[in-house]
Amino acid sequence: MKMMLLEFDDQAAFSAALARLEAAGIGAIETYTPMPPDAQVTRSPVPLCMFVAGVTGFSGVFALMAFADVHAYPLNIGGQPDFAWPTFVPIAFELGVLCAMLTGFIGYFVACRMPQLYEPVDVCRAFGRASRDGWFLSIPIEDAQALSAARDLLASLAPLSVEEYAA
Amino acid sequence: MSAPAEPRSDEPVIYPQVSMASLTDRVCAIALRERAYLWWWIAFVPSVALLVLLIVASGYLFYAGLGIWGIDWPVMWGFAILSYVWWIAIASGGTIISALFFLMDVDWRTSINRIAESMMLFGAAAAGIYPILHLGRPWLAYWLFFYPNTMTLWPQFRSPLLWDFWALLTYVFSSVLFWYMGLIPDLASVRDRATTRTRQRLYGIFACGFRGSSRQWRHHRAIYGVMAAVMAPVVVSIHSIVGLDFAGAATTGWHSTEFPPFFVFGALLSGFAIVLLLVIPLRRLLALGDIMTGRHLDVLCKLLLMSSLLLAYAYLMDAFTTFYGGDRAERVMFMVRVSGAYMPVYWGAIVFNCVLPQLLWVRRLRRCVPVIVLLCLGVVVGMWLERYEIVVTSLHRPPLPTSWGNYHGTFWDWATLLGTVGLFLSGILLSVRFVPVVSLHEMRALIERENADRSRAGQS
Repeated sequence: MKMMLLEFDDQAAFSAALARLEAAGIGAIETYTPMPPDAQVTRSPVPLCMFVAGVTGFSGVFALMAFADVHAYPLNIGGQPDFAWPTFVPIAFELGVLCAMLTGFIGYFVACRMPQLYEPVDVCRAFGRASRDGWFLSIPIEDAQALSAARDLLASLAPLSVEEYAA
Repeated sequence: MSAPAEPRSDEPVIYPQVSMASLTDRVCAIALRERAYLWWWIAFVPSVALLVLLIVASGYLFYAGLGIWGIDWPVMWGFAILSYVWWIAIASGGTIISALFFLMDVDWRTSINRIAESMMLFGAAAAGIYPILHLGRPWLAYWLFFYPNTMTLWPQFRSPLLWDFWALLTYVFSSVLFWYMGLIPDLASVRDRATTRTRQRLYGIFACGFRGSSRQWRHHRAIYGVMAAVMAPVVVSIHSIVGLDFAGAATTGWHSTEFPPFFVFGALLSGFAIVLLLVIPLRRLLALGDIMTGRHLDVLCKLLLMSSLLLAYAYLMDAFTTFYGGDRAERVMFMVRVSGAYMPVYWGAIVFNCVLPQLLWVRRLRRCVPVIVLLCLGVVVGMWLERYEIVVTSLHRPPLPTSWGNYHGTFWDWATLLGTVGLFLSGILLSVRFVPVVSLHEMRALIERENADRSRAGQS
């Protein structure tokens, strides 16, 4: 399938073009931007996974310590109770945090299907500017009809550059 | 409007001529330079020499044992523990800037965030090796983990020392993950600017294929925010637990409930001092005066002043509770602390950490770079003295007078301390050389916001 990569000068032009193309129902649009677009909704399932991992890590380690001190190897130190639960909290907290952080980190790569060192869009010459100051939209061109429809729209959108690439 | 030669407190956090493109190009060019700056080599060579000293000192320690250090009864904790606490405080200060102030959404944090994070990373690395060195039998370090063993033994979960091990482990790992998470989009920027094949490949691999697609940004923003929200309590916990290492022991001078917050205050103070000591030369050497402006120095100086006041309060309460409580041994130890052989250590800490930073009340001095640098160096020394005072003076006067004794660091103690300074500096210099020194994607968002504010102000 053919794709078309459109570059815009700033966020305002980019957002306006995105709205127009979405209204025209041109297909699945992908964006490549130097920063998160302001209009983007921050929604991700990963923070919930982090929370679950954190709570699981906390409870699991807490239970392990309780098991060790109460059943596996009770040790009387200065007459303290075996189930001295407040002293279990710091390690349980730290390991809960570690579980949450690792889940967040790994979760990011899973959610974004990274690392993916090559993607077809990389062949476009202007694309390097996506990590600098270029605001890019990528639209699918399924057939000649879609191409002419896209060209009609492009005339009014005035992108900075247009490139076609095969996906 | 361009950055003045001398910093001023009324400067903006970022000058209007800085654009996304110009900033990206400048910062990536630093990482992509063919040859390093001359000043970089001048700083790097002695740092690596000190790092070699650390390797030699550690090697000899492993060969000869802990006897090469000055520690002996009654002062069984010496340079290793006090320097560990000192480094952990420096690292924690970096996390507070990068995580806590991220959550507060303050504009001055953005450009110095990466420097603060590098400081956190290498401060934690310098701290992290001390407990292992101090074990005496470092090859048995794995005994700290809970693992199935034939003797069905478990670690002592009720001891703050074990808490400290897990806190440090979590802190080091989480710091690396947090730092790398924020770095991915910037590594992509460097990858796209790189011209040689090797660099394209290397930065490409570390950027993991980040392209700024909608999905990558959506998850990045959500996860980075939550990571910051997790890091903020972690940094308070790590230094509180370090405080509990002391407070949990029934030792004169240590057994106090004020220790956890007292240690966190110290972390704030030394963190802000080291960030200033890194930002001041780097903004000049890398010509980043238009994004690290007088406003940043002003804010950091005010924070330094505030944390100095917090610490002064902690010192005051330390003295107050000693005399308010009825323990004679505590009072004897305190009197020796303020008037005995280690008197200069105590008063040095007071002067460097509490008295001298009060100069920053004067606005003119908050812009005077030499004064700021001297005050920050004073704080760095003062914080080390404070830890010396807590660790050594407390231990050298235990409740039983028959157990009194003195302590001095040996050559190998000093060599290890200087060696960790080398580790820290080499790490910072390598990160300045190869990693974008400014968080580019966050700076772009800041530039976008400032431009929007400016155009709105222009319309009204």
